[in-house]
Amino acid sequence: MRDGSAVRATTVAAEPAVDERQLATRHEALDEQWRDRPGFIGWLTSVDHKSIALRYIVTAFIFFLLAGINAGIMRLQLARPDNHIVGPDLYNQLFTVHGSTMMFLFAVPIMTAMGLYFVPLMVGTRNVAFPRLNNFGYYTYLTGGLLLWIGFLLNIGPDTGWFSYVPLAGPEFSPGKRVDIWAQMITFTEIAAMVTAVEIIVTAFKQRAPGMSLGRVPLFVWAEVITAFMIIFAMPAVMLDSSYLAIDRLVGTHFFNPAEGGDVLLHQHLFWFFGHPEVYIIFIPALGMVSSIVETFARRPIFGHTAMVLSMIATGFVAFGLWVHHMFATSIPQLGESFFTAASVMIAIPSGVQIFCWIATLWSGRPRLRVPLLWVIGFVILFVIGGLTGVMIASVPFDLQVHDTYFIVAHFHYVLIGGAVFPLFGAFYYWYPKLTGRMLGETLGQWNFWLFFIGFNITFFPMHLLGLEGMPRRVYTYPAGMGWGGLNLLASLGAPLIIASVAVFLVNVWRSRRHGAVAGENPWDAPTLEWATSSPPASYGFAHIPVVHGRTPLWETRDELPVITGLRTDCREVLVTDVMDAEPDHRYGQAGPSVWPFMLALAAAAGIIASIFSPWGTPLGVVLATIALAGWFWPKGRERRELAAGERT
Amino acid sequence: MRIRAVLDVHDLPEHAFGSRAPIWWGTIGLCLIEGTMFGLAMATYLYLRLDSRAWPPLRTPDPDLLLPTINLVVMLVSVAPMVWADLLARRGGSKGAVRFALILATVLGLAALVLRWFEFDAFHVRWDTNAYGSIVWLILGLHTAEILASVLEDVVFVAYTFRYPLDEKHRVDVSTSAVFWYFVVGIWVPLYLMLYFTPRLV
Repeated sequence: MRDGSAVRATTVAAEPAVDERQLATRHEALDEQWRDRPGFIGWLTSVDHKSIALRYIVTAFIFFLLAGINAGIMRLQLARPDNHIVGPDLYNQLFTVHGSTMMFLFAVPIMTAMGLYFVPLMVGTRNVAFPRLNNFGYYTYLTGGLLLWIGFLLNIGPDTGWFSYVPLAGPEFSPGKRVDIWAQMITFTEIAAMVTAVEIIVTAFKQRAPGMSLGRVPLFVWAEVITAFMIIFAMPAVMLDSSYLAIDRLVGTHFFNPAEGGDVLLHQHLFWFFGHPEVYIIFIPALGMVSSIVETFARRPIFGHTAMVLSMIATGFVAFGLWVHHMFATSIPQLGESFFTAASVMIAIPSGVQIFCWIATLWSGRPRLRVPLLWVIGFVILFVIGGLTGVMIASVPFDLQVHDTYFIVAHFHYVLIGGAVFPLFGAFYYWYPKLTGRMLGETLGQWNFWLFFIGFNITFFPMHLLGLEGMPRRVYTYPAGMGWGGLNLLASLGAPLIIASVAVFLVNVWRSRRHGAVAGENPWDAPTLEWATSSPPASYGFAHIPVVHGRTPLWETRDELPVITGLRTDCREVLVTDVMDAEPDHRYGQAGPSVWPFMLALAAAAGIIASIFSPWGTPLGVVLATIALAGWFWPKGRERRELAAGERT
Repeated sequence: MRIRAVLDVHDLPEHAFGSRAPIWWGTIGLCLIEGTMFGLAMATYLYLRLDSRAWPPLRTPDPDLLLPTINLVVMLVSVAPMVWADLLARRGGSKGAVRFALILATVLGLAALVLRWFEFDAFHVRWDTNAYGSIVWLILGLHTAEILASVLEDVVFVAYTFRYPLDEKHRVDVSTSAVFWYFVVGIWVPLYLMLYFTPRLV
């Protein structure tokens, strides 16, 4: 694919270190090119991966808090038998919006947003590959979230569970617009996720710093790339599925209507073909975070780097062969069920490899037990518990007993909160200094961790027992005679501890923004490139693009960073390198801020929301999106002047 | 940390075609997403068939062959001007020549859209008649949207060439948009075979 002219970068022999004054003017020139426009318009037009990722993170965290409030109300309701704080209709909306928010508006976006922030910095480039598309993705995601929550606050929130099974969610049993809001929220968030996935893949493939061959790519970047590929292959399934549901409801198609040749299990197949990989889409970035934290705090390169990468890839592949284990209680042939049991048990192998590699790294390193590592240890404990119940319910006879009971609720909260939220909190403590330039408080961090860890176990461990005692999930109350009152009360008593823990975290974040210890470039003495630039990073990321000689670049060249020269500073130029070896290939001037991605997001929103009510929403969206895309493409401002100048010469 | 310059890149070119360009990878990403979607739509079609004793279901005749086949040929032919535009863009062909190739491709794309309008009738079924009608209309509709998107992209390129010079950046764009065109035509081949020939196989 490459022609001979590709590599023309010349090695500079023994050039003296760049002097200070030159550096200051360089910073100014770069900032002039790369910073956002000021004010509100700058907010709408930003193409800086850091500000967009930060917005994603804050927005997703707000949705986490909102969905947490839902969970709190549910625990309050279930605290004693025959409770009537909320009625059945509101309760249905509470758990549907809780689950949908946590999965679609919190977990996936925040995990990929961490990638949007750190992948470009870790591979040593100035921005993601398609900066304007990134802006479009954020606003599309935001509209989807607002749609769901405004619907909920208007008492038209979806009420059929986060997977909206038919026939319950079909036109016959769920009239009104509640399910349509759910289906279109999916459309919004999946468009955003797929956009982000392409951003991350192309950035990691084509914009790595020279020398960062595939073998030297940090594990967090691998994790985000593998996740991005999973998004590409999984998300179309749920978009197609929710579209079938929406048009069955809107224009009378029969995808899920058995009377006219449709099939209700088609929905379950398509949903879980997405839904199971989804779990790993949330979990694999967390593995990357854990690896980053373990490496830094064990003060040695990760043990078994290649084995780790292969395990994550294996997890990514096997994740697509598990979906039927969510459907063991349906009329699937038994031979098929056995296959999916085997595949489900198999996923324990790559997970085990990773757990052992982390333990080996910590064992042979010189661990520092700081707050980020604390969260990682919490993760390992909870994830092992969740993994063990996972192996149990992979077995068909056991699954049939506990299907749709609180045992399942306990299991997936252990794997999702233990497996993703704990590493995420660890990542917040680890990378907060890079995001803000200040350290988070260590004491509050300890409180944050222990309250969460204890509160989580008090809340969710009893649910295993409730499930074994037969308590079904998604019931708004239960009679006293069932004997479930005590354990439910215990579970509900754990919830305030979790709430207190999150409150401590918010206080910590708020206080540390102004009063935290100043972090400097690399407060943890970490080995990867995001720590080779200022905290918070300048608009252009790196003043000079670094050159990489190993897997842990900042540990290999401790006092001197090898860099490249020759990128233009009078436009937004990035270095494009080749996929395998990251050899310099060409320089490329990226697009700057523009309002058109936002306009495209508005156009898409108009079309998608209109199609809740009328089939004409789709053509409307097409027309508006075409206008927005043409506006996006058409040369304006500086580009127009340059083209005109080019024509004259 | 002190820095030390070890590599100078100012001699490198400012643009590159094909898999050297980030936009090419972005387009491949888009094709993977759309390809997965069509793959799952095909899976739906075949899955629904499992539930049906007759396929197409009773009282629905087999789809017509003539017009859909003509349309397939039109689409396949439209690849030729796109390949030509791609080569011209890469090899520094004149703006006029690139524009001519793009107009040719656009005309063929529009012809495919017009034929597609009538192709919906070739199935003798409405989307709300039965599940067979639903999935057939869905596949046709999705693919029509792909053709429409490619044609609109071409129209914008043509309009651009009337107003501005064809610089290197836009040459890369033309060359990359051809990749998406190949995908849109290429994905139709298995879909065409499935939609029109699997009902005829027992």
